[in-house]
Amino acid sequence: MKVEADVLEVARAASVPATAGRGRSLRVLLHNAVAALAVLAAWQVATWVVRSVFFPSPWQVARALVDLGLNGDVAGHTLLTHMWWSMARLAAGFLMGVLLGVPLGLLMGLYKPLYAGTRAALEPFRFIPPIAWIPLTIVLLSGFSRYVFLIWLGAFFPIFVATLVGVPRVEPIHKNVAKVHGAGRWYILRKVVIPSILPDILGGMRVGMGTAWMTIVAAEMSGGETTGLGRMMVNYAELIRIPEIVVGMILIGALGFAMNEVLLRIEQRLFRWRWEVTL
Amino acid sequence: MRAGGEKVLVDVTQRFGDLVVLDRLRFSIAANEFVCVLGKSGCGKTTVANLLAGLLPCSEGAVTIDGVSADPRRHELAFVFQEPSLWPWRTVRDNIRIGLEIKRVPAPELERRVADMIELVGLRGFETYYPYQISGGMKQRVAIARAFAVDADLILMDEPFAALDEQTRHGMQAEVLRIWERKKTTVVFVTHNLEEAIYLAERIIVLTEKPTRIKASLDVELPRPRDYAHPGFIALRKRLGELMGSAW
Ligand SMILES: Nc1ncnc2c1ncn2[C@@H]1O[C@H](COP(=O)(O)OP(=O)(O)O)[C@@H](O)[C@H]1O
Ligand SMILES: [Mg+2]
Repeated sequence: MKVEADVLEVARAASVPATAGRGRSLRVLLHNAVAALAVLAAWQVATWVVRSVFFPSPWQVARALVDLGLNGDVAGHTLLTHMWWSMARLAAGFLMGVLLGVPLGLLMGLYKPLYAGTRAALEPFRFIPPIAWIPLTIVLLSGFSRYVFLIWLGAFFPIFVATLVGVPRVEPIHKNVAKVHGAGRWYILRKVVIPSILPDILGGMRVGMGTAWMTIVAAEMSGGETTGLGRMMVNYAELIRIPEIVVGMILIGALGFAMNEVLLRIEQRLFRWRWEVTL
Repeated sequence: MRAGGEKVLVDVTQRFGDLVVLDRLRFSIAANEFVCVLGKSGCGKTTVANLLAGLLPCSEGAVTIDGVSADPRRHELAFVFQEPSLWPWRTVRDNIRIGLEIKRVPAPELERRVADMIELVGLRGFETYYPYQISGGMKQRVAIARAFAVDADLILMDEPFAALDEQTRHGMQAEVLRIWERKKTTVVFVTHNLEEAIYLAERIIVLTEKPTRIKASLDVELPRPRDYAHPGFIALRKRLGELMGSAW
């Protein structure tokens, strides 16, 4: 058996991810910490230049953060409560987006006439931003159901479309491998189609998560309930208390970032078989 | 050596639109025979393999295996494709399982057979590697292991080594023969390479240009392992060169 040349090649292939080890990830962490501090410093400098009572310093915002976290807002809700509700609504709407988007995308991807025949009825909805639905939903829905509906609208289409366009891109040869051995459609769907397009679906989920997160804030600002980060920001806007508004902004950014990172980690775990993981 | 009766019967005409690719192509294959189908690029070799595997419906005529129309659900078939065909999301071991998994081979038996094939193609130690981590030669070895893991009525190999370098190819050819001698299955090996056909085949079916018919069917009675410098090898190569040359 002549395996030596192959072994060398294997060693070469395996060594690529190995170099991206501890040392490098620590350096990346350091770079990010420095960059974050630089933004903070620039902000501080800007407050010295602008000198407006409506432009808060990092220090004022930090105080507002601690105060909101410990003592709560004007209505007594703490930051944790606001965050919890925003996240709960997001999770519910996003989950519905996945549960409807993936099966519908699969179905329409597998049965092309179904998509071709409903295209004109379906596609225009994609171009109505979820925010444009707010006036209608204020009338028709209230509270939690309104928020979930709006988030679902935001999350659904990116997930649905990613699944839909992924299906025809499945390698025919990968399906043929199963067909030759007599596999049925159900086996091919579960063992070939879904693993093939899972990276597309996860990519769509990340885009959907982004849209959903933008939608939740706007949805909460539309009123209905007293909790949620968007609601909190509107409350403080009415009081012209800028530091608290900035606290809301920062938390929205940080939570969105954290959720995206979680999805990325899941992708990296799930798709170890892939040469590169998309960003 | 031809044992038993005719296992596979082919009698097909194949069209794609107006293009007649196979024109009443007729041949038969005996059980446990190693047949090479030789023809130039574009003459319809992949089409023949697809028809034999039941991946493509015949325009006219039929392919029968043991008297029954070729059907992946009724026959045990296996295919080593020309293009990369490993599932990139599965490890070496899990790729080799595919055929057995579909045929619902019980777990202990399945594990034993997968382990046997890994041993037989020399992939021990690479069971948990993903396709992107191994070389082209190893990938094709996995594809071969996957095909021979099932007790196939018929194994189809469509230019499986065309993309490999010369040295790797020779090694793989010897390996395929070794496995075939061990497992004794019927193999149809498609190629455009004269030496490859002579080295491997018990019989070579030479195809014409499109619309494709059979140009010749030659028994290869050279001793194994075959030697490229053997006078018989050289004579046969010359003969095939003439056959192919006059066809184009
Ligand atoms: N699905 C198809 N539709 C139309 N033409 C095809 C199809 N498959 C093969 N052909 C044509 O049939 C001929 C034979 O193709 P193929 O069997 O792939 O040849 P080979 O494997 O010998 O190179 C080629 O001219 C090719 O263009
Ligand atoms: Mg071909």
